[in-house]
Amino acid sequence: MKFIDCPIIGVRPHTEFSISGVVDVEPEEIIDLTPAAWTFDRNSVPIERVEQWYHLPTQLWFDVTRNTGTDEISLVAIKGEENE
Amino acid sequence: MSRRLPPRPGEWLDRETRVEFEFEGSKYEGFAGDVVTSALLAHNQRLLGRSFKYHRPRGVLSMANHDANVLLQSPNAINIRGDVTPILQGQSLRAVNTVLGVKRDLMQYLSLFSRFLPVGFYYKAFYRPRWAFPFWERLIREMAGLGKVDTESLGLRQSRKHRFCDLLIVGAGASGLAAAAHCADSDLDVVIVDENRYAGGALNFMHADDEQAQSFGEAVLNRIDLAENIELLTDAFAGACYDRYTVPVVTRQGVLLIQARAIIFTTGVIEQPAVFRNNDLPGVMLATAAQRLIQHYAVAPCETCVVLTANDEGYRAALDYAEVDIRVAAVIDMRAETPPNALTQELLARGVQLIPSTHVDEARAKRGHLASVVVHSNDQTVAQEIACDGLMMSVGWAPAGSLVYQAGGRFSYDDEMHQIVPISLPDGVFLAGRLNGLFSLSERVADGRAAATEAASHLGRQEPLPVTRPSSGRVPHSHPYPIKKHRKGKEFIDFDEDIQLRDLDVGMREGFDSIELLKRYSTIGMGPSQGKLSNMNGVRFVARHRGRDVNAIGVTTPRPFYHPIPMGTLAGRRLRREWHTPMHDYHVNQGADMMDTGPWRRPKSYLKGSPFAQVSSEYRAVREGVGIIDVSTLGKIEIYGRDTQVLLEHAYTCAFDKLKQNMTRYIFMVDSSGTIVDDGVAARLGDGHFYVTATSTHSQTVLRQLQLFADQLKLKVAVIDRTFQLGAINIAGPCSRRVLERMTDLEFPYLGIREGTVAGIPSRLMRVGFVGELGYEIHCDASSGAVLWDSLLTAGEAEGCIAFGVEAQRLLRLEKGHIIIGQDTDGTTNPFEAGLGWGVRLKKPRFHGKHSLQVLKSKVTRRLIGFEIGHPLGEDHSGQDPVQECHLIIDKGAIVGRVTSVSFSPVLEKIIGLAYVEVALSTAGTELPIRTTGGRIVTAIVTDTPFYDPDNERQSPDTNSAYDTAA
Repeated sequence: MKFIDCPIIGVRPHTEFSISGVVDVEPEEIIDLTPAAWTFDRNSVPIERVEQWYHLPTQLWFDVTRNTGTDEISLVAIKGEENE
Repeated sequence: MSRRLPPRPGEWLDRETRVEFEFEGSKYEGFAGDVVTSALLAHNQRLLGRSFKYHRPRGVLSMANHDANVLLQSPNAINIRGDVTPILQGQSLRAVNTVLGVKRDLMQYLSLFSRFLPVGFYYKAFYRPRWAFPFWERLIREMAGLGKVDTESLGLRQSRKHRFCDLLIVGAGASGLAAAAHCADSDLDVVIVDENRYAGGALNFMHADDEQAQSFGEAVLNRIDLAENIELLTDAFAGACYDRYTVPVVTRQGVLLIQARAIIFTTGVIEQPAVFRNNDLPGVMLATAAQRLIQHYAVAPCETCVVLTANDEGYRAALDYAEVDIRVAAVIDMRAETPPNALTQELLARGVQLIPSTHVDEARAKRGHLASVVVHSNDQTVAQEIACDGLMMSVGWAPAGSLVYQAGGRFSYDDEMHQIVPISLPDGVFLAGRLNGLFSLSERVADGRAAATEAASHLGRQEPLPVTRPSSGRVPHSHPYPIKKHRKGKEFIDFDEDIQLRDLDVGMREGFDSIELLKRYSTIGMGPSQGKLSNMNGVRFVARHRGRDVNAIGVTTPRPFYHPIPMGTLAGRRLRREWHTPMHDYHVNQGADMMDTGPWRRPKSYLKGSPFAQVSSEYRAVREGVGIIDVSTLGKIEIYGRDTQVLLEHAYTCAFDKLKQNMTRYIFMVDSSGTIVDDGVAARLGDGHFYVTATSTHSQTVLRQLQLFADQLKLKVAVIDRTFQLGAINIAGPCSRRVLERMTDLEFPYLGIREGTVAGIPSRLMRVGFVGELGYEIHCDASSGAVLWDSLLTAGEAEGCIAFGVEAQRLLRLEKGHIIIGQDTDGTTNPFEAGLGWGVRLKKPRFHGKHSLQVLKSKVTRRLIGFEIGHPLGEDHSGQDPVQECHLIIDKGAIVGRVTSVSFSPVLEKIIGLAYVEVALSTAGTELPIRTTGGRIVTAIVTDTPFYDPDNERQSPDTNSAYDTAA
């Protein structure tokens, strides 16, 4: 089991979370890509990336920086928090 | 004749308690603490099982949970391992995989045909002629497998527990105990697990006569016992290692899932057999198996033994045997010289013949049991036959490294030690003891302590670093090639699956010379013990055959679980959430037929009788009078804030600018590929205040998605889940308004929403038309839901108001052509196909899925259409082989469509349904050939929808009244 250490709610097991990939919000215009490529093409090369994880008990979204090669999580931030 | 020895110092028996049990119909008696194998051996019952393929007689081999040929079946359990399972009073056991019992097993004559059962036999033999395959398949299925599953079993499940700790130590042998004791009284929370009944590992059987070892064991166990921060679990094996630090420990009570922050593996090594002709005879066993039998269970495995060795452990074992008056006929050493040490001196003093540079060429049997061994000198100049009823093998070791592999550790073959040793480990994972190639007790203890220090340091405890690990003397304890081919074969390299050397030869000759391919083709290492006793020798054999070194061949990856475990243990106790609506008690008291809708329990129907009649009477109440349905399962989301409308515009496909205050509209959501994922109703309650419903099973997903959009777009909104705060009731039917008028003074138009009271209960009312009649959805506080429900039924008594269930609702909405997301759509349906193009506003600057929908709009290849089957009442519906959901529409041999909903419509008196068809077939009047389950072709006609009340007159009978248009 992996643990995700949130600055607000503390250490929680990953089983309380679900991942929703790296996709950002759909832009008004898709530049340099066909809609199909924007929608479907993904890169699976191991890399450190920012993923969106949802925490069911608190109904919060997190931006989780994770290395997909080593499966190590380096940073956890509450999504859209600067807006509060 | 009894083979039971006088009491041994550390034996695991309770000689005061006798236990009677049955094996193969005969009664036996053992002591409490005996395992099945030891209790049977004590009575000289040495034939314990039959092999998987040739049904050869097999006996004790490892006594360490690897005896895959001694599998037993009791009335309530299968594949019980005789070597580790304690006997129970009155238990009745049989060997698995026999016909007429283990003694007479009729299948043993199969081995006469073994010449005709080469590796890959099934692949080669049964593929032609094709018509004969079903016959062979039945036969093979009958022969395959071990044990008979009792399908009447109650399937008792075991609970799963969780345990969190700082440090987990797997293996409570010398090094593991030393590591644990080193952590005593620190602030680390330590768990140490061991699969054996008692801690101590090899201390209990390989060092039984070593006073120093015994006093060390006693001291560390005392220390651990007194330390409050250490939990010792025995009779519990670590089954796997997930995510590096998660280890499911299998106990007799169920799985204990341990979550550690660091792990020390002190799992030790597994003794490996030698390979020679007839090495599978009962009486041929691992040296440690005999030591375990003697020390744990006080059973002498034989009268006269020969020890085959390639390390000092063999001489130690020979002394142990001599100690309990087993005659040691000879110690055969495969190495060039007999080592000149204290052990050999003592054996010589006892008159034991020590023969160096010699190997066993063949074991010979009398009446199915070992009677003698033929030994050859390594240079083939001398051969002799030595009579014995026991052959103990001590030729080498393989690491018990499955969990280390799973944690991410890597091993490599050490050409000097002739053993597989670790070369790299992930962070926080440490090894100690024999796994590291350290064999002396003092090295193992020092290594355990060093590992504990490293682990403590990893966990942030101030410990002195660097730590010095003991280095091994580089003396090999394994023979590089304990394999002897015989011209007459029967050298078993895998006992579980009856693989002979010849089988691997044939496999490689046929091109399966990669270890991964050869494993699958020959099935070596695929039996119940997962190659623990066969993979090492298999790799050696392949390496030599191909002229490569062992590392170039590599080893196959061991997968969880370390030992097989029952499915019920793996599944654990079923914990399934179940959500009840506020009106749940009513449904249950009325004896409703309840169904699952995701986690919700919903009433399917309240009436008894045929499914059709049930729906029909509830259906008629709604069409002709009034009915109520519990719709509390709907997702109910309240959204406040300046950007509420921006959020909804982004999340849903439609435009909200024309939605007036206190009005509702139908909405649906697509994903980024344009697939419909949810639908519901949105209501504008004020500036920056909307109320949105979602489908029953998707409410949590929709909520999550809305929250994500809000975060991504940095919107000023609050998305509040009210699904569980509110109950909801739909009252529908031509008389619904009349009933409602008695309870509220709210009046409003079709698609309107109002807040007020119903029967004095603060409520929110919406005029909706899902079932195609005048209807209202009343949302109120969950605590008042049941009261409101009863009030509605009472108020509507005169109109015959009854509750209706989900089945009736489905039929009612089908007549209106309203779709259900997930039933009339699937994971690829876009709005244009589903006839919902009117709800997509591509002119909006931006919304989720817009780009895909723009592309899809001009690429519609199928459409959801209505169809009817014009047969007279019921003929094709209630009869045999009706048209059902998912039936295909076949045109000229090709699939051109699929039925998504179908039912008999009482009001139209024909069968109606919805189906996807290719665009060319979607115009009204087209004939659709539907193929039923029974293969009949039923012709349906494409029809316009709604089937019923196409002008929506019944939903708003008052459209032209002055009152409604004013709103």
